[in-house]
Amino acid sequence: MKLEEIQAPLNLKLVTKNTNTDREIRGGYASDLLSWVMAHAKENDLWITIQSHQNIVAVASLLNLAAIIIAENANIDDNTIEKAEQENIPIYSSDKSTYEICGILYNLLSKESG
Amino acid sequence: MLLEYPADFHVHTCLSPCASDDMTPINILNMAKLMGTKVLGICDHNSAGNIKAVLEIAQDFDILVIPGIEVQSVEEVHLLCLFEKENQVLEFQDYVYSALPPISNNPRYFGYQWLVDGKGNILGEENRMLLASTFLTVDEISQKVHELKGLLIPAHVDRRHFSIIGQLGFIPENLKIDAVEFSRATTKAELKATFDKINNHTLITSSDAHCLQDMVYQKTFLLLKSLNFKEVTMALRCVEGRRVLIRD
Repeated sequence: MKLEEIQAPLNLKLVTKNTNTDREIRGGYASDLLSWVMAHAKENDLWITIQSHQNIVAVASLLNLAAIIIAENANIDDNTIEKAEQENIPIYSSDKSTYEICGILYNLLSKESG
Repeated sequence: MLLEYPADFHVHTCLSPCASDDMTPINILNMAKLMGTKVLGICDHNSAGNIKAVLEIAQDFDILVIPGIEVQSVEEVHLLCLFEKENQVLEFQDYVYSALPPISNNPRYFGYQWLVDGKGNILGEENRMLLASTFLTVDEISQKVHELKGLLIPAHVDRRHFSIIGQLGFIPENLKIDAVEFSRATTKAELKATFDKINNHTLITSSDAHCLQDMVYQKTFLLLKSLNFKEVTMALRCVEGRRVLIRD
């Protein structure tokens, strides 16, 4: 499934400019502990977190994650957005909780893989 | 001539809910004296409520007390924030208090938060829940600490929880810090083997004492010309021969 296709069902707001949203999602990963994410998330995962420190961009970039969703409208630093634009990592904001986003995303991706 | 001064930058008082009730100023100072500790950082969680009492009682000891606070950032990172003077740490405390959630402590779950005098007589209880994250980011905390001419040291970076590496994956390159603390659960050699680039920072290790017997972990020594805050700062910055030695 393409990143662009999940924006509407998850009611996501794209907060970065000129980042690549035309990419395929393999799966999802949810955690706020960056050391844990670095060890466990996989390439092309969509990462859901409330952690918005700019280090999230480095982690996403390192693992080549598809995008980051910041749940529950958690505040995002300007530094983080700026860095994400430089590194071409899309960041979305959502008013839904991590739990809700994961549930919807899981269903969408499961349906696709049949 | 430079002399070696044993240092422990991270000791809690009975104000921290997770610390033992016998962590009173007089007990802490006497334990430090027994251990030969000469540089003693007092850092309670999100508060400097017992600092005045510790500084008063410290006048009877040949020990440099460095007043501080162990702040919990919005990213759930623990940071030691140390200052030269009482008024600086109190100004910093106002900043921290203004960023704490409006929740009262429940001693049944978290423990008592005793405000005491130097001898350990109870003056009251701190009602704010100190075991909470402030709304402050690590960058905001770094900026404020340095505005007040203090020292910023990420605490117990080797631990998974409440450490800057655990929470943020690695130490942000642009974050201004004065040293990095590792816990007594590891050694300098292990730390260097585990964490890339950690050696770019001055390393210290502290007891993070929550009870008196924790204070026996004395592994950090400072080479200083004399015993004062400026010399300690010079040691952390490796200036003019001043430096930090770790024996673990």
